[in-house]
Amino acid sequence: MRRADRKLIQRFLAGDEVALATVEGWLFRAAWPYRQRLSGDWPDLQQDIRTEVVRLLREDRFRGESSLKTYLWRVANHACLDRLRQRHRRRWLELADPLEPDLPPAAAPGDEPAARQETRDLLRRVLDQMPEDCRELWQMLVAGLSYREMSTRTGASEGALRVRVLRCRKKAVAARHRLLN
Amino acid sequence: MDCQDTSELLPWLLNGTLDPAEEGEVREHLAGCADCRRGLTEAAFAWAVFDQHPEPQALVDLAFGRPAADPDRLRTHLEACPRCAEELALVRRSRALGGAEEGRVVPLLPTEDRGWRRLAAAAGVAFLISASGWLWTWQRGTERREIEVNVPVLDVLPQERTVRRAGPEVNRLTVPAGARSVVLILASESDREFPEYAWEMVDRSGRAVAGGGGLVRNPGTLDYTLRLPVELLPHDRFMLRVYGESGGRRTEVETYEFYPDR
Repeated sequence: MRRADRKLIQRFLAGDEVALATVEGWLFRAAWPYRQRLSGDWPDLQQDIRTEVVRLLREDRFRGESSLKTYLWRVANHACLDRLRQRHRRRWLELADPLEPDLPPAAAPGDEPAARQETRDLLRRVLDQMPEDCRELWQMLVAGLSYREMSTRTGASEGALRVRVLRCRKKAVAARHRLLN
Repeated sequence: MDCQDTSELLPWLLNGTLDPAEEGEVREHLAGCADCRRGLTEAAFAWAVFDQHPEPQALVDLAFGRPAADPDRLRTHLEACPRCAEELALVRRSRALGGAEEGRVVPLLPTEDRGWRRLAAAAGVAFLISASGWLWTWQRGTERREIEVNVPVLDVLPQERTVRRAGPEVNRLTVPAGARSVVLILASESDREFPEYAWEMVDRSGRAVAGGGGLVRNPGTLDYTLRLPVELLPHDRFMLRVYGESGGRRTEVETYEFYPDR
């Protein structure tokens, strides 16, 4: 670890004003490109990043493989991406809760529990078994296209399209069943 | 709406693109049909299968030039997924903002650098007494100053834009209880570049009550970052003036007006 970085960490953790301002300036600038997309979450995001950085530095997690600044820049970006993905799932969960409280957490897109390695592996293995046309259709769905838009884009009638999407859903469920049994 | 129609429409219920009448019918059917609610669970599972993305860490690693665990899969995904491609672009933009300052510690408040002075003074005095006394003093000093996590960060618009947009509400300065300092991100609208910048705090009567030099304007985001101890903040309306300094001359560049709320 660079000597200057070690000193800066010591000063930062000791509450030195110059070190705090330096690190906060870095973190703010690292998060800057996300500002528009995360406008409502911006103050919370700043606090989250700061809390995470304090935790990492207190736990001595910085090993000096890069400069401290680069390391913190990466931490800030990671936090911003996490927050962006939380936003994607928010609406979905709002919808799912009143409908089906027993929905498995793994089903929530971008959900943290789904990030558990075991679940991720299962999802990946199921995806590997899905035919290309199913991937294309569901990618359009996930991207937020209505069935009318998808019908126009694929040239299939709305009815046929809806049936094809339903078949893909059943294929995914069947693949999971095969893999688990 | 029967089970077949409901079942077919579930994916679009999840992606929020059904028109209100259709959505109402689907919800109504779901409320009374256990089979279709199971179908919703299946649709949600299918969504999770087809909505897989690389972990944020993989995108950050890629943007920062670190080897990816599965580069081919990552590349293929990025080609097909506009959302992840956009996220990668954001990380790259962020990285570009930091590149110019790599490894440089920026003293934002050099005139207020009391921490170093305190440390130096404590060390000097303690050295005269004894090495063990110095160590004891230094350790106590470090322990006393706990790191502050709850620091509000406020984005601040210059005065002209504040007035034009929404009046004094924009730069209302709310300091949460317990906060010891506040970080102000001062948006700059000036095209003029100076080698140095300084700031001055002016109270309601026009009296300068605080100030300092060494303010850094970030070329990427065009803002100044200023950290102020809470005790320095006036309780009434006040202004912050930013000056550009060149060749010993000081030019007013921006003015920010604040309305403390505490």
